[in-house]
Amino acid sequence: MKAEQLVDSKQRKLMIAGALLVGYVLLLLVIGFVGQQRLLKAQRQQQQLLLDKQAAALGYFFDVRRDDLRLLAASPQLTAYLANRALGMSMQYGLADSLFRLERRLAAMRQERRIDGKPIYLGLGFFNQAGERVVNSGVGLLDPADSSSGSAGLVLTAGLQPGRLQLSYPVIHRGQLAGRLVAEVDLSMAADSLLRQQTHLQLNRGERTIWRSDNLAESAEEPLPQLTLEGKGGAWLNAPISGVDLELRRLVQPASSASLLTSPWLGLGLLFLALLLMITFYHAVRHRMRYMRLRIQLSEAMDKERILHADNSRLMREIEKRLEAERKLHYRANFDQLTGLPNRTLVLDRLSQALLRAERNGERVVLLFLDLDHFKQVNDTLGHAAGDELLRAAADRLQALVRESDTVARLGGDEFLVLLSDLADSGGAEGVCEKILAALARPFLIQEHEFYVSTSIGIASYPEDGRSCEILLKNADIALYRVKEEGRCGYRFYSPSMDARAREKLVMESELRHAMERQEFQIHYQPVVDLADDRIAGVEALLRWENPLLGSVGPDRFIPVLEETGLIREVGGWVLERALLDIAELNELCDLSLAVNVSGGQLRSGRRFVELVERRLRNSGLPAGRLLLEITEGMLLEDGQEIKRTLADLRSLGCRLSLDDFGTGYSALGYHKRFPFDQLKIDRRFIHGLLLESGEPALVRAILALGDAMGLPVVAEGIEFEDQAVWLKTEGCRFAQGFLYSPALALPELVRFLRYRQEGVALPERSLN
Amino acid sequence: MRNKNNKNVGRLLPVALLWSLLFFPLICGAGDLAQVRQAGELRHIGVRYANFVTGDGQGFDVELVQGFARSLGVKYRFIESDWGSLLGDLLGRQVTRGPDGHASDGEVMEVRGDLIATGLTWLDWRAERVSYSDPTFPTSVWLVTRADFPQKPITPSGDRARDIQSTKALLKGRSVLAMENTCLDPRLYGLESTGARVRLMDGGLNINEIVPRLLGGQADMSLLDVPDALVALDKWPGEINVIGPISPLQEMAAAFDPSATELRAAFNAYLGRIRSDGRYGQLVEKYYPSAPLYFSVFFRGN
Repeated sequence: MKAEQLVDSKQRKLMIAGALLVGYVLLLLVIGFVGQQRLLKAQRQQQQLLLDKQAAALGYFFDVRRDDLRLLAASPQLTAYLANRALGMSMQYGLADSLFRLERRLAAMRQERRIDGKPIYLGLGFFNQAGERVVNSGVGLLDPADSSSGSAGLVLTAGLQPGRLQLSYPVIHRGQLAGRLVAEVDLSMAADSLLRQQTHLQLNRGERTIWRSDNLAESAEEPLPQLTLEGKGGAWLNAPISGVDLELRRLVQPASSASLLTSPWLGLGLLFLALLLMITFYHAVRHRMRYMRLRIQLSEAMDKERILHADNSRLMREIEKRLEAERKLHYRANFDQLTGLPNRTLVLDRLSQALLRAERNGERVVLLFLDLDHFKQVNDTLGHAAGDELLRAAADRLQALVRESDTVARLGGDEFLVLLSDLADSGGAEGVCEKILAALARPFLIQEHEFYVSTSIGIASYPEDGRSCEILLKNADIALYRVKEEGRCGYRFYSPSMDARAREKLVMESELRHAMERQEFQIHYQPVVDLADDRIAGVEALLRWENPLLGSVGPDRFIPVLEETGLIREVGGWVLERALLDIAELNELCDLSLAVNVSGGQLRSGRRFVELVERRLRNSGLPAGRLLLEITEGMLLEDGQEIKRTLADLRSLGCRLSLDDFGTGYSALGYHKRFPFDQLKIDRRFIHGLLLESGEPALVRAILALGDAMGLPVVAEGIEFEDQAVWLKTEGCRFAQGFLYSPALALPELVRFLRYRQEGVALPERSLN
Repeated sequence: MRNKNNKNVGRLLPVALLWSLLFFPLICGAGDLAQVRQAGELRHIGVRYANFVTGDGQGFDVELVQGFARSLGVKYRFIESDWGSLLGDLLGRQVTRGPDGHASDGEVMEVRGDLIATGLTWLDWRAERVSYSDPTFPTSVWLVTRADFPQKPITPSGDRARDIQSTKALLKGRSVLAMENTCLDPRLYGLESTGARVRLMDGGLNINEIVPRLLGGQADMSLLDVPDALVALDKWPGEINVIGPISPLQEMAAAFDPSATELRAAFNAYLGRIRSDGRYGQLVEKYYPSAPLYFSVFFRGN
């Protein structure tokens, strides 16, 4: 279609070019016609001019002849003759001499007068009054009888032959006409010599033609026929010859014969040429178009073929890519990229097959759900590369422990699944678990560092713990969860009681997702007392959840679930906003600092969390310096640089940072030095056993000494007894919180509590939580 | 022939010496061919007359004699004379026409030339003393008058003798110029009997002076030889009228000393040659082109 349009366009252009060509030729014809008319006029003028010149030349010629005859008439020879004759002298005695001399004179004149070497006078003679020829030189002359009575001027008469002309000139002697001098001139010769262009010329004496340029063969006796016009457009041009009664005439023929360039024949020729050109042009265009069309079609076909070939190649490459991708996808779909172990999909498939087989054969299938304890800390400490290396090493060890018929799979993260089929009883499973625990308990050498990891294993068996893949997997996971709850590093078989707790967790997850919109969360504030003056220095905001279904749920139960579900950011933001607004309202009572726990998820959101804090502070109007953000030690083990930047940003807002649960984790001093904390908070577990026999006062003392050494105030939480408070105060602990002073209070209760502390207002009856 | 002459030289020498003392002029006169050759020079005696001797080194007879001298291998020298001394310059003595019509010898003169060629008419009295060559030119004598003189020419009759009579008949009482001892000698034509009053020109004068004198009114008419008349008609066209003939046809010839036979013979031979080879005709055409109109018989064959 494109080719057709292109060809049509070119054809149209070429046809326009052809039309322009024909127009051009027609224009040439018009110009030629106009030019022909002008040329014709110019030719006429030119020819008239030429004719006038020729007539002038002839006029001059006859003038000279007149002079010749006048000279002869006045010559002494003729005068002597006439005188002697008048004296009566006879020819015998004297007159013959005169006549002889006259004849000699005439002969001399004939000899002298020449044009181009040819004599002008064919004959010269003298005729007396009676018309008798007295003397004659040259050819015989006719008696000029018809002019004998003419005037004194030159008289012309026709010669004896065509092309000849007789001139007679009167001779006057002693006042009387004595005779006539007669001369016969060769008019043809003179015209040949004098007139350059002699075509279509004739000399007329009246209507009588006495000379024609192209017809000399006619008899002198008969008048020469006139030249006749040939064709159209011819015309006669006339030019009288001065001094004689002659007229020179030129027949101007039509322009066609005069000028080939402007003749109608040329026009017709041009027209024919134009038509020929047009036809040739048309055929050339047709062939060109056909050729171009074929060429374009060929080109298009080749283009299509090339495109198809390219598409085909691309398609082949795509197919190969897709096959490769499918292979990769299949591999990815079924195998773990990191460890090369079957992934969840494949192991579930194998599990389902194993279940079918077990059901058919009455065999047992055991599913071991593994989780590497504290793997996250390895990942955070040495980086993901080290974590990956650890996972690969663990996978290798696991793979080495099981039979070929068994399947070790990685479900993701640090979770592995071991499928043991064809087992007679669960005792075999225990042996495998022991071997696994032992194998993974051995140190791992990662990046030249020795690592020790423990493993938690949940076990679910077919058919006791479930008959489907999903149930078996879920139950194994529940068993694993139980192991972790119980302190990790061990294995547990699934039992239906575990399932109840798992269900509760599921219910909790579900309820938590709606808790915000149902306004089930409440914030309680636990006062923090300055041990130095027993003043309320601040409060710690603590989240409480009152669910209709689950009742009052402790934070140690629902906070992890919030963390797992990611709801912690939304809930944390709300806590921050609400607590800031609440404490800001208490400004009238006292200047309390507000401690808010920050979850790992919040901290990891980085800049967004900083902006959230800034926004909430601005909204509340609470000075930033009164906000104390509590961060657990475990959070610092994560991405150090990002956390450090976030903490620095928070501090730049003016907030203060408190290191929470100090002593429960690695408590690396380097962290404390790197991160800009304003306060340390000793975990309640250390305070609980402080004054018991099993307590560890040295550790608390060391923490207090550390805080002192770093210039950081230390907060002790979980103070329940006065002794604890006294001890801590003695050891240099600055702040304390706990039931000794006040449980966490709802805002109204806190208000009353504060008033009580300030003004001695009685507290209402309530139950301490 | 040569040996014989040598023998005679010894015997004739004394006689020759004697004769040379007595007739010195004769011995030094017109020589014959041998003398001319010996002298290496041909002396041409002439008078300025018509176109025969024009006086400027040209003329019919001048060229004729010059050609003759060249044919002899000698130099040419022109000796100018006059009509009175002409024959004496050739013969060594004055010769005139006596009253009896015969030659009359006069005083001795110096011989100055070897031949006379000057349109000299063959006259009987001259022939008594000189030897004429073959005719060199035809001539005749016409009676001419001034154009304004009231005398019509005769009407030719076809008979010359009658025409002469008619002409002479017109002479009565007319004064006519003539010149003795020339072809215009009135005695030659019997003018005395015509009643004309002859007025003779001085013999020392040139004939060429006749026409001017005629035109000057010194006479009514004049005798004039045809060659001179032709010149006059050309020179004074319309002023001279030819009345008619006075003489019969005459001839002119070169004159030699009668003793110069070999020279004359050589001249005649030369004349014959040039008349036959065309050179003579060229001379006529040059000096008297119209003469053949009047003397057709003489010039026939040239």
